[in-house]
Amino acid sequence: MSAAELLVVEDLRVEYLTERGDVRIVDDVSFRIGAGEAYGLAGESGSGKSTIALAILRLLRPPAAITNGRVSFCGTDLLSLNAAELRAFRWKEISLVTQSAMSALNPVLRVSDQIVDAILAHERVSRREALERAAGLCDIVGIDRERLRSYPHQLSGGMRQRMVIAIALALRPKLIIMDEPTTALDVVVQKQILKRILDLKEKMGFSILFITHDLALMLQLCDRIGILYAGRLMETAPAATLLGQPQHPYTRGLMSCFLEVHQPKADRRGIPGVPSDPRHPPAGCRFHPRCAFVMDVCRETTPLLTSRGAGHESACHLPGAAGTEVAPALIPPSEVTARKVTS
Amino acid sequence: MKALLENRKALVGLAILAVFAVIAVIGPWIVGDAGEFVAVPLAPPSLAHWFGTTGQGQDVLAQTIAGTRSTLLLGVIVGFLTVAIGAIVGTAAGYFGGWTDELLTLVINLFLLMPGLPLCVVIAAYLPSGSATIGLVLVVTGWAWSARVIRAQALSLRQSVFVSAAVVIGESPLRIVLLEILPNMTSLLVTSFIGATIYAIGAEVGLEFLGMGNIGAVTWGTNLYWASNDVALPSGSWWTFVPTGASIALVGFALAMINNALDELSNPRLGAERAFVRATGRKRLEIHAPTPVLRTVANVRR
Amino acid sequence: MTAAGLPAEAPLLSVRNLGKTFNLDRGWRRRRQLQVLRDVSFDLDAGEVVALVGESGSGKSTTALLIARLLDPTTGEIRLRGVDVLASEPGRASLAYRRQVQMIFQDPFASLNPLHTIRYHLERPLLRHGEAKEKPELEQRVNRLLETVGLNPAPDFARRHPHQLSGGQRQRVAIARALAVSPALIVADEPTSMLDVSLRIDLLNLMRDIKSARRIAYLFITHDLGSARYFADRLLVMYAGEIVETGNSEALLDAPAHPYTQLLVSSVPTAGASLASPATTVGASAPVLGRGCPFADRCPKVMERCRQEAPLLREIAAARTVRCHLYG
Repeated sequence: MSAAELLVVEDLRVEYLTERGDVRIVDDVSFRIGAGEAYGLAGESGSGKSTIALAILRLLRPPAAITNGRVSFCGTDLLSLNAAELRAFRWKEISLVTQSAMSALNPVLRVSDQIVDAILAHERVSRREALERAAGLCDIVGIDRERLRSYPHQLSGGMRQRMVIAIALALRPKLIIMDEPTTALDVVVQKQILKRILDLKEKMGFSILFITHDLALMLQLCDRIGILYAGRLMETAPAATLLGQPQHPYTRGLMSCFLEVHQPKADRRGIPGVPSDPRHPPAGCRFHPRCAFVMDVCRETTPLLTSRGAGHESACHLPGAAGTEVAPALIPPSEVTARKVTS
Repeated sequence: MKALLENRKALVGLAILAVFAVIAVIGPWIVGDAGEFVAVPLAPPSLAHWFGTTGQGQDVLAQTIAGTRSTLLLGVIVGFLTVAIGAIVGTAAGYFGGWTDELLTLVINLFLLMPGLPLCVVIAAYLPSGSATIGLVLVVTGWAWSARVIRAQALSLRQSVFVSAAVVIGESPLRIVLLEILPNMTSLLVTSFIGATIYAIGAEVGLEFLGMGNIGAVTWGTNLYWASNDVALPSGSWWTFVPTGASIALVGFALAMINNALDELSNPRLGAERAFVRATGRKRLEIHAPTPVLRTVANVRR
Repeated sequence: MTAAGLPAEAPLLSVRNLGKTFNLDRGWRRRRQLQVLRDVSFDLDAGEVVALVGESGSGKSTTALLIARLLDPTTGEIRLRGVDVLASEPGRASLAYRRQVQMIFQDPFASLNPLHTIRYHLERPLLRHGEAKEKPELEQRVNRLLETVGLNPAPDFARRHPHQLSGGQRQRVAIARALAVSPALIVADEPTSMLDVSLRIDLLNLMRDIKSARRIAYLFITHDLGSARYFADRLLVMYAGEIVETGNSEALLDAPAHPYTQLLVSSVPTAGASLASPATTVGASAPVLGRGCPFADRCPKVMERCRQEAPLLREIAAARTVRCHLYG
């Protein structure tokens, strides 16, 4: 898309090689993230969203293996780096924030030491300079500098998560992968942290790969969004487009699953059926057993991502470009208009 | 169980154990009275006496075979009682908590503090010597070890949600312990039993070697006692103690193998990694290495 | 409150001044205590759905455990149809109480014993409460329960073990188990929070259908205001172990009165709304338990009085109560 492309993921495939056969968790997923952009990957459990994050950083452990595709970051092919090169690369260029702050922090070290160690491992600076940077990071993520001397268990969940973000920022990476960074937190704290992240992004200019199951949250935070289902990318579009004109039946289904605080008390339906078993994925479109608009072709041919408008792609056999309502029945009309007003 | 039979370690362990079990059952009928004096003392192995004779002129092979039954039987009984008492006390403490737990934990700790083997020596010296005494001593000094581990697991299972769910539908405490908690500890109970049995055999042999048992009976322990008494080592009569010693080592090895295999089965990660190694043709799995990129392998396999 | 009131008119469940304090250290000399629940009182009518909402640590799950009698309260009363059950059956709850009050747990992966089949899980309450004795009848009842919660074909599901079911299916089994004894009240502790978004609504719909068909009341514990609005008739908002606001779920969420409820409602992610919208200035994130209002340190509308004296729960409109000095 833009010239300043930071991360390019092409046809990424991740499989678990097991005794009972190979299980494809991520199936030929492609997306690009530009400089300063926030890209979101949304999906339910088993969609492969966290696997993608770990695969990009090559942090997945065997029996998982990357069996196809290309991951390139600023021209560097991440899939051909060796262990030592990757160690130098992680944190410095791409850092990771996960859901459980407790497991990212070492319980027996003071927080300050952990940030300082991270800086010293990658940059030739003195310990004092590193400590000053750590203090500066505390200001940035909005924690009292005094807290640096705490051990992780002395901090609340929200503060711990901020500390993890501070560590992720310590080396000024160009991309931060955030995998459900606020899922374990209460909504009030979640909103504070996300606002802080957006402010920082404006100030420091890094990109974000944001991963969550919470589509509402993602629509607030991200510029562009990809919807994953059973390891495949179903739809990708700018956030506003996705909110206003979702094309894929799965995306529409997910949207109608939002239970909002201010909605009228109308009857809602979830997406029928259960997610497919990755060991035995259905033929054709992965979503077809749960799809209300299933056609014969869906059972046989896997749909590929095709353009539906500016930056809007959908992997669905249903015709219809952006803007044309193929199946308005999925979302009550009152809601569609309500959403358009708010957006 | 089926998985256990497919595991190579378990298979080796079970096979060795089966041989000894058969010897324990039918052995004494074959060899007759092993205490009989059959030849000159300390005769080296020969066609007539495959394993030679003892310092008293008894057949070593017959004595080794005859000792199997009493030694194994005692080991299994002690192992079973140790775990059974440990399970009753441990689950009671873990399930009921509160004062019951504090009291039982105190008792467990008291028994843990007692120095096991020295105490065995002292008690065994005061009671009439014999297998029953040694068994009793081993159970008294050993049960607290299994009680402690079982209590810890019962405590964590007590807090599991499915136990709360059983309470909510109105199940009685006894039923919860017997049908919800204990079945989930099967692997712990089995490994505790195997561990206790290994310990019991070792301790029994040790005590009898020191002369704390009934030296008139034929067991692996008394075999070694007599071998030592008849100065087998200085006289170079290795055949008087090697068969018994090897039997003890083999039984211990077999039990340890089974324990090991059970461990492997309860940790699916080990199995998954073996499959991965086989699938990729790599010599071994580097756990901390970056995610492997295996374009060719996957394509070839498909 | 006397127990001699007319039992016919007594609410299904009536909770008065419930409090729970945990002892943190077990020692002879110093005992640190943690008060997780204070002065919780509410009523629940037959067939009514009341949602208990709040953040983690607000005491909502403790309340659920107390009412399910999995935990004993430090103070207060629990009355079931007018009978003070803590006085009449201290310690272990009676079978009669268990028959009336059932519970669904948050984690569907932990609430079923991995070693037992689904059939076993559903037969046990039936046998324990004498609902069915003979084998054919038992089997029929189990099948009917599975069909009620939408697990078809029922005989096939009955044979399976929990690990052969997905999270959503397991939660349906948990509902079927609660229904086995035909209870009057089901305590549902975050029943959908561990399920995928696409499965949550259908589970709530199932619980609602069961409610209308059998007139079952729910105490619905959740941190998700959207589900609370969708499923509940009435809302109780908890903060730091206290109820801070109550009311009809729609009225309360459309116009929250307590500053904490306002903060909570405005923090829920809303698709299309900007994150930068109304800047909420919030102080220390942990509640402070002193003599004043526990929310005082975070409250944008804090007054001098809030730090001096704890507010009481007051009625500000019909069926609407708030614990805040702003209202009186």
